[in-house]
Amino acid sequence: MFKKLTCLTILSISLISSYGQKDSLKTLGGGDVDQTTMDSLGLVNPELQKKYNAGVKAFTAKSYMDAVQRFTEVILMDEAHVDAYFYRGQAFKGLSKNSEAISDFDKTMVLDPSRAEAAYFKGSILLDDQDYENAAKAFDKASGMDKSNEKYPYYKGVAEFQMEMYELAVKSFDEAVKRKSDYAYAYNDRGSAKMKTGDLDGAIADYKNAVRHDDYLSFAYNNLGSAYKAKEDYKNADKYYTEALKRDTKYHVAYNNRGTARYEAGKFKDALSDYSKAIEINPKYAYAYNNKASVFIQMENYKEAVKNCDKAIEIEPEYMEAFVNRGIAKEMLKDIDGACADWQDAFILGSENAEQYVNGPACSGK
Amino acid sequence: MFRKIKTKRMKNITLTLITLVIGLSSFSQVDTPFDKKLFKEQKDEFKVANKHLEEGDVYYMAYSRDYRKAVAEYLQANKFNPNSADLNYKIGMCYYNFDKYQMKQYFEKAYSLKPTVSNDILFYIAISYHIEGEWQKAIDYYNQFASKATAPELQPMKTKAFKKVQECKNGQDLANKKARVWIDNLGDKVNSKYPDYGPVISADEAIMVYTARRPGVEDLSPDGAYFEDMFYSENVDGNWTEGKNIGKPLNIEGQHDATIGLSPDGHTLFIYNDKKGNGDIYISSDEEGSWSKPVQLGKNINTDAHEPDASLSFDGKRLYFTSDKPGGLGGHDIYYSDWNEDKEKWGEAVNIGNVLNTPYEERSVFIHPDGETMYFSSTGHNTMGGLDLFQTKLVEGKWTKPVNLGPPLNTPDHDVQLVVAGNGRYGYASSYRQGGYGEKDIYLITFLGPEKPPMLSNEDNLIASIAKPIKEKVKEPELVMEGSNMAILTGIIRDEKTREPLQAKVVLVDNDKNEIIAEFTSDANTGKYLVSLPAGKNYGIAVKKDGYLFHSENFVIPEASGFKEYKKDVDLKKVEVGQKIVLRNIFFDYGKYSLRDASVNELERLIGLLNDNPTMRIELSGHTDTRGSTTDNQVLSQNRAESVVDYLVSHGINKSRLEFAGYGESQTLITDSQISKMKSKKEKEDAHQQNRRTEVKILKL
Repeated sequence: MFKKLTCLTILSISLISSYGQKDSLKTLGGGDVDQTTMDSLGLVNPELQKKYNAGVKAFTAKSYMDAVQRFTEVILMDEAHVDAYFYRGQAFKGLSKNSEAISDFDKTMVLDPSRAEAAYFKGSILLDDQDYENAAKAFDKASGMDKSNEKYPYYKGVAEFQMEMYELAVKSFDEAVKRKSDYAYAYNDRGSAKMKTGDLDGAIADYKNAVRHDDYLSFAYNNLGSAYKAKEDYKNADKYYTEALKRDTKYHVAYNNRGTARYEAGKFKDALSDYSKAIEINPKYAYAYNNKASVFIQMENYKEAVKNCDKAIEIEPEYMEAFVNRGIAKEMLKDIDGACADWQDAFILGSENAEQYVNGPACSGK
Repeated sequence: MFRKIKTKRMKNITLTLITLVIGLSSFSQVDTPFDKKLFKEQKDEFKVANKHLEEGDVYYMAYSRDYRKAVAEYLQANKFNPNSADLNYKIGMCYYNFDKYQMKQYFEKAYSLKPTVSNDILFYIAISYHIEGEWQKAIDYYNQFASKATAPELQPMKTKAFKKVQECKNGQDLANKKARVWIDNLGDKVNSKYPDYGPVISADEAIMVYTARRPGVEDLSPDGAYFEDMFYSENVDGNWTEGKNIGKPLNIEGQHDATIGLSPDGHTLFIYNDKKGNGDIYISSDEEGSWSKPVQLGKNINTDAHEPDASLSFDGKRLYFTSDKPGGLGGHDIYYSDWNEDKEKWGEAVNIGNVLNTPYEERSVFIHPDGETMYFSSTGHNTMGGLDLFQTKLVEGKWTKPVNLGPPLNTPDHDVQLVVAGNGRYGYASSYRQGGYGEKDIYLITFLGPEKPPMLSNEDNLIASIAKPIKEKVKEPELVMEGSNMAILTGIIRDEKTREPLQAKVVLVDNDKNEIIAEFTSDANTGKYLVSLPAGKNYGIAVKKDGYLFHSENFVIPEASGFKEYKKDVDLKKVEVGQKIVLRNIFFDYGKYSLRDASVNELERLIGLLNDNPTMRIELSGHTDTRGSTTDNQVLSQNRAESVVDYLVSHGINKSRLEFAGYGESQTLITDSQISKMKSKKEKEDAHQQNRRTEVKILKL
C-alpha cells in the first residue's frame, strides 16, 4: 500500500502551484497511466486503475461531476486512496462544493501528512470564502509541510493581511521572499503590509523591489505612488503613478490616485483631468466623481461639485464622503436645508465631521 | 538699502510722470473760474449757473454745513462749467463728507485743471484711492502729499497721511486674509432709502432694535437729515417683520434717539442721547410689558465727555462702554463698570487697558453672551482705514491681541457696530454698500467659520493576487469648531392650569461654586424668558414666583461644547396639596446616597419654600432608573430621600413636617419601552437621567 502511494506520488509530478489552479493533472501525461507502468510498480488492481484514470481524464476535461463520480468509485474500492481524495477534492472545488472539497483535502492530509498541496488548496478555498483565520492556519500547515514552496507562506501573509494582522503578514511575506528571492508579488504585498504599519520607507523599498523583479507590475508602481503620496512627496507620487499608467493605459485606479496627488499639490486642473480620465475608462467609478466634486469645491464651482456628488451617490447610494462633500457644496450655494440633510445622511453612514456639522450652528440656526 | 532708495525714487519719478501726463493730456482743458468775463457769449446761462454756485457756497460754508444741499447746487453749476478747478474741488469735498465713493473724479479733475487748487488736494486724491482699496496708488499719493507738505498748517494732515500709508499697507496685508462670511442685505422690511443702522439683537435673534433717520412728524435736524429714531423688528420663522417706530417714551420729538445696546434676553435697551450736547448712555427696560422711560446710567458711566456705546454682559453684572473722557489712552477708549448689588448702582469705570485701547479711537464695543468674546471697532491696531471691526477673546482672565476681522467685513471706510447672535454664526452690522436701498443699510453677516475640508476617496491594489483594489482608510480631517461655546435656554413660563403666561424670576446658579450668577425676569405679557449659559459650568436654574412651587432645571455645559439652543417651557404649579416638583439640582455620587456640595442651592430653595409656608408638610421621594437590581435601586432611592430629610432637619426644619420614601424604579417618567425606541445613545442616556430624580410632593398646607 505504501509502495503504491509512493509511486503515485512520484507520478504526480509537481503541480503548477497557482492559486486558481488549473491543469494540475497535466503532469500525469494527459491523464492516463499506462498498464505497463502500473505493472512495473506492482499495482495490481486494474479495475481501480481504470476508474482512477477515467477520473483523471474527466477532471482534465473539466467534467467535474463525472470526475467526482469516478474518484468516488475509486474511494469505495480503496478507502486509503490518497490521490483519489486529493483530486476529488479538486473536482469538488471546481464545482464550488467547498465543504466537500475541504473534507477531501483534510482526508488527504490524514492519509498523507506530507501532502502540503492539500493544505494549500484547503487554504485557498477558505481564503475565497473570507474565512481568513482558518485559511491562514491551512497555509501555515502547508508551509510547515513543504519548506521550499514560496506560495504557502505568501498566501498565509495574504490571509493575515486580510485580517489586518499586518505585522504577522510582514513575517509571512519575509518567509516567502526568503524562499524565492525574486518573488515580485511577495515584495509588493509586504510593501502593502508595511504601509499599513506606517513603515512608509519600508513599503517604498519593497515596492521598488517588486518592480525591479518585474517591471510590468503596474499595480506595484501604483502602490509606490501611493506610498510617496502618504509621505506627502507628491512629486514622486506623480512620477510613479505615471509609470503605472505607462504600463497599463486603462488603469483607472492609478488615474484617480494621480489625480489626488495633484490635488494635494494644489494642481487642481491637472487633478480634474485625471479624475475625468478615470471616469472615461470606468464610467461607474464613483470615487472619481466624488474627487472631482472635491476639486470643484476648491475651485468654488459649487454647482458642478453638487452634480458630481449626485453622480457618485447614484452609483454608490451609501457613499459617505460624497454626502459630506455635497453638504459642503450645498452650504456654499446657501441651500442650508439641503446641506444639513446631506450631513445627516453622512453622519448616519459614520462621518464624525458630519456629526459636528449637523450639531453646529449652521444646522441648528435659522 | 540702495535698492530700497532706488525703488522709492523710481516710484516718485513714475508718479511725477503720471501727473505730468495727466496735466499734459488735459492741456486742452484749462482751469476756467466762474468769471463772467469768460462767458460773454453765454450771459444768461452763466447767471443761472453762478446763482447755483452761490447757493451752494451758502450751504458749504454755513456753520452746520449741509453738504447734500451744497452738492446739489454745485452739480447744477458744474453742468454749465465743468472745468472750474475750484468747483470740482468743492464738489469733491462735499462728497467726501457723505458719499466718499463719488469724490475721486472731482478731485482728480480739480488737480488736472490746477495742481495748486488746494495744498491738500493730493491728500484727498489719496483718500479717494484708499477708499476704493487701491492701496499702492493711495500710498504713492499720500507720500507725494507728505513730501510737499511743508507749511505748518499742513503738519497735522501730514501726520495723518503717514498713518494712512500704514493703513494701506495693512489693507495690502489683509487682502489675503479674507473673512469667510456672507453679507446679505436684510431687505426692505428692515431697510429703507434712508439711513438704517446700529442694529442690536437679543441672543436668540428673536428681536432687533435699530436706528433710522426717516421722515416722520418732525422737522429735519440741523444737519439736514431726519432725526434719529429707534425701530423694532421681530424674527418670525426666519423672516424679519417690518420695522416699526418704537414710539414713546423711547423716541422723543426734536432729538436724536439711537440704539447702542440690548441685553441678551432682549429686555434691557441702552440708548444714546445727546440732549445735553455731550452724548450719554440711557437705559430702558420692558420687563413690565412696555418700555420704561429712559434713565441715565449715573456718574460712574456718564461724564461731561462723550459716551456713545454700551454692551451688557450675559449675567447683567458688567457693562462695557466707551468714553473719550480725560485719562484714557487717546480718543474714545473701552471701559467697564460692575454692578454693585448692595448700592444698586454701577461702580467706578475701569479702563480695559492697552491691549485693546490705543491712542486712536475705540468704539462700538459688543460683549458676546458666551462671556469670552468681544467685538469692537478701532482706528488703531491694524485697521485698513477708518474704524475697522476687531475680535478679542478672554483667555485666563486676559484679553488677547485683537484680530482684524478682515475684508469684506472691513472696508477702507468706517465699519462699526457689529453684534453677534448667541450661536456665533450670525451677526448684524450696518454699512454703506453698493446695491443697498440707499444710504446705510443693515446687513446680515453669516460667519461660515473655518473651511470645511472636502473628502477624497482612493484605493490601491495592495494585494497582488487579489484583483479588487482595497480602499484607503478614510481619515477625516481634524475640524476647528465653528460657532460659539455656549447654550441658550429659552421658553415660556406659564400657569400650569390656565396656561396663562407669567412674569416670574429665573435664577441662574453656578452649582459647583454654589453662587447665584444672575437673576432674570420673564416678559410680563408673553411669559418669554431667555438665559445665556457660557460653556464650562454646571448650571442650576430655578423659576420662582410667589404663590407657586419653584421649578428646577439642571444644565451641564462642558467646555468646547459648541453652541446649543434649548427650548424649555415651564409650567408653574400653584402651591396646592398633591402638587409635585422634581428637584433637578440635587446630586449624589454614583451608587451612593451622600449629598454632593453642588446640591446646596436647591436645598436652600426647598428650605425657603418650607419657611414661607410654615404649616406645609411634604414627602421627599427618591427615584432611580431601571438599570441594575430592583432591590438595590429601591434601597438606594430610600437612602437618598432620607439624606435630603436629614439635611433639612439639620437646617432647622421640623422633622414632623417631612416624610420620605424610596420608589426605586417603580415610577419612571420615561418607560423602558419608550427608551428602547430612541435612536441615539445620548437620547437614551438623557432619558435615564430624567428618571433618576428626587421629588417633592405637598401632603398638607
